Amino acid sequence: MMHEREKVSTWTKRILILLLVAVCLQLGGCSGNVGVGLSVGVPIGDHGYISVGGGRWL
Amino acid sequence: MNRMIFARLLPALALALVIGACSATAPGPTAGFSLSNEPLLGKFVWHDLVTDDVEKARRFYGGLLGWKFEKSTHPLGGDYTLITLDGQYLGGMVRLEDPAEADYSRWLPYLSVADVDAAVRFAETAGGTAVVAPLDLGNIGRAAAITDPEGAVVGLLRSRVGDPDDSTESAAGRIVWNELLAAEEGTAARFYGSLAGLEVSTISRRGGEYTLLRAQGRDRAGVMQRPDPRVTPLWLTYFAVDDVAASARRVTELGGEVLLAPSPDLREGQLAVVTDPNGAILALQQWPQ
Repeated sequence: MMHEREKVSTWTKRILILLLVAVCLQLGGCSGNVGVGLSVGVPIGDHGYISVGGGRWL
Repeated sequence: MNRMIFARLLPALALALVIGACSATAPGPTAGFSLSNEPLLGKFVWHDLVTDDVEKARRFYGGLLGWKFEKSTHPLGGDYTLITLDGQYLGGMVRLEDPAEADYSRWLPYLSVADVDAAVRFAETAGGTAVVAPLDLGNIGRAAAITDPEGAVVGLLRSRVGDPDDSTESAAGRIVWNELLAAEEGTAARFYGSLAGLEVSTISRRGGEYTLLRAQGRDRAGVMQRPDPRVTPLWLTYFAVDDVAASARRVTELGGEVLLAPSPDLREGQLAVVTDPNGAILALQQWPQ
């Protein structure tokens, strides 16, 4: 009887660990295989001047 | 008895959660595009739109280029939007608040390099700056962003999963070219040649010399003298469209601005340079050319 109870307890621990991993993956999205997404905070500058010199585009 | 049933059901539940977590939000490394076995050094392998309004950007690019979007999680945490076209990933969108005095919205192309840290050190030695210091992106690889010696911003990436290979055909809605508008094109081209192992070559075009950056036997990018000395040097990303004149009109309808309208003087009417509603600059290229 004790043996059976210990067996269940061991299984329960394993399952709980598996559940914990699953929840972590769910929360983390298990993602990270696609994309980069660096936040680059550099002013783009005065792009209005691109409209000047259209004939100089080789 | 109940405990035994519980114990038998829990593994199935846990397994379902694991599978659900990984399939719902996590495209695998090969999902959406075909990846090379080895990094394609010198190729622009990813593009992000840095923008202060993702929703506005989605409406604009969805309406203009037919893109779809997937909400995702950034490798370092936080929201990230993946861009798809015909089931293939072609870039991402990341939100960054503009300060009052400047506009940060831009397309950021990422150049595949052998060693991100070494590339950043080289850039700094040559007069560039590290805008985002090298950092690990989970199992994707290592990335950084720099300004080159002339001030143009570019991303650097060393992938651990391979780079998008050259099997995808160019078509409307896809990214087809990257071009540096440089202050001095020869010096700038040599910098990128050393930075990423690119071969520099020139071709005669429209009465002038156009500089190409090549790797793996392919043209990977172009370098051109900026059309006006007041233009801040920048990497301009080209998006293919079926009808450049109609697309330029659509840009205005969708809240963007046309900086250079198609005209016979501008690459035979095949090019338009525009901004999206948040101020990011992009080029529209008639495709096929």
